[in-house]
Amino acid sequence: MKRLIDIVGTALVAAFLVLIAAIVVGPFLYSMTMSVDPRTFLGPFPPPGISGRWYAKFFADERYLRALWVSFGLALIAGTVATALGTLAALGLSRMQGSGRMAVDGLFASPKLVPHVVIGFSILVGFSAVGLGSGFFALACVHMLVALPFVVRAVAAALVGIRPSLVEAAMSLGATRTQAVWDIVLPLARTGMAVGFVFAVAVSLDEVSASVFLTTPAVVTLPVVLVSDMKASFDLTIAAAAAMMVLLAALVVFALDRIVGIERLLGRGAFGGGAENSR
Amino acid sequence: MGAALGARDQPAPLMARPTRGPADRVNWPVVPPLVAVLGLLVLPLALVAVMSTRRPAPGFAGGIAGEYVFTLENYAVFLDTAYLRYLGDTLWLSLVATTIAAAAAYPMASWLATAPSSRQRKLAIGALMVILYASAVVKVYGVALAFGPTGLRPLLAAFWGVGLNNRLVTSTVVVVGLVNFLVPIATLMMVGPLQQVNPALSAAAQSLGANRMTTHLTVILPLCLPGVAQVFMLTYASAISAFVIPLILGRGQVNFLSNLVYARFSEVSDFPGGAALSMLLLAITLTVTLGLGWLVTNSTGLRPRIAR
Repeated sequence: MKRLIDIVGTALVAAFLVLIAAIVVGPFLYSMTMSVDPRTFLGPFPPPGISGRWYAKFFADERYLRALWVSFGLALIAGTVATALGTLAALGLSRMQGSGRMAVDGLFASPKLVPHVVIGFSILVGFSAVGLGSGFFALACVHMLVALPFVVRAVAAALVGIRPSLVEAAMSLGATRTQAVWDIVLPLARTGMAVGFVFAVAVSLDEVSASVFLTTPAVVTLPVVLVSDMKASFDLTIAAAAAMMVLLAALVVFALDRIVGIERLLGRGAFGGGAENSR
Repeated sequence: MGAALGARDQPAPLMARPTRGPADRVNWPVVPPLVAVLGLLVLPLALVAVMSTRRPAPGFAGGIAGEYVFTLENYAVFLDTAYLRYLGDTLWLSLVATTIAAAAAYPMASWLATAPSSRQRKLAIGALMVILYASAVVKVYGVALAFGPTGLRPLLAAFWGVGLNNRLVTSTVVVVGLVNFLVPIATLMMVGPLQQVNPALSAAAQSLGANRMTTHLTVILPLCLPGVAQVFMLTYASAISAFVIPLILGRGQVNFLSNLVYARFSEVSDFPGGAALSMLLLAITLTVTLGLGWLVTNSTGLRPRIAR
């Protein structure tokens, strides 16, 4: 009887998971397959042949190319600034204790709690009040703000594994605290900073809900262009752009795996060996 | 040699010591990021809160400069039935999608937490992360395409027994889009709490005669419930704040709060109204994330432990 419940239960759960997998992976495969559709209109699945016309159209469209440049530039700049500020934040946090530390920790994590639409709208209001307006600088600030919590978490996780006695030893040999951190802690925290940077870039490339408030006719990010095109027409050029962004995401994950190993990012908790806990 | 030794009063220092100034004592690293967050998040939110109490002036997006009339009328927007339906959509459709996503995430995260094979696990996590980091825009487009008039939409309409452009069909597509978006996040977040459960407990329960279902429902799930509930709340908050998904998939029929904020900004140029809606959205999100999470902690007595 118990085995029967198990068999039926497992079968039900498996069927449910297959449905979910179809929902999660299906649309991807659908749009990637349609991106090579040779027809000039949107027809039913499957495409009758293979054609690169939509990719050519994407690269020929000046709007998309300009948006691509803007997105890359923003990602690099916002990613770098977020990594720098996030590392400082993690270092500062490691020196604090108690309720003060919890409060500041919460403050650095707060951009994750605020809906991006609200962030975008409030930066718009705030920057307008001081005369800064929309555009590249405002977008960079928003992307940096949104990416910051990820960097702080990644670097803080790396700092946990660095014994404070190393800094104390350096200081006992005559270094100032700043020298000790710069020469000893930061090189050891390199991995955390790299992971944080990759997360920051990924977050910036994907950001759309806040960016829609701050784009100008001259400065538009790629996701925003794609969204406005989706509202206007259902061109398969968007499918080509989407396929390329999936490729980009795969590169991001590959980079993360190279740097730190995807398994290490999640750890194994109670199921792991002790290897990851000793440094 | 004796004279040279005796001539010194104190031994010379081994190395020249740099002076320890205030940079050593004051926690200066925390200052620049703190200023950034205060200036870019806290201050602008305060400005939005102030603006939400301002009487809107038609034709002037942010109100007429220098003229400030305190009013709460911007918050009265939800007394209108149309807006109540938008709020209902936001809360209900998100709840349905979150429940489905959490129900799917639990078994998958369970497997990820316990699977011994490193290769399989790595591939699965890698695949989830690729899906996660592929832009939300990509995912929405895929769903919109797959559920377009040449795709699965007619099937859905037939299932519900209504016309092709009925709100029910659109709502279903929005839920599908949300599930598509939420499942990877929920799964990866749930691995943490599930990993904290001692693996010996599952083996012990089964050795005492429980089948796998009973083990999960009576042993594992109650132990990681605070963490799982916390993940549920965070996922729900993500769903409520969704913008692109209801924008594209909702086709104007289904609007979430975030879409209303955007409409106040782009179409109507009513910044005080948009500010009030932003504050409402923020209040709802914070209540879900912090308030309900606090409730879970206090009612079960266990502290959830997941990486945010």
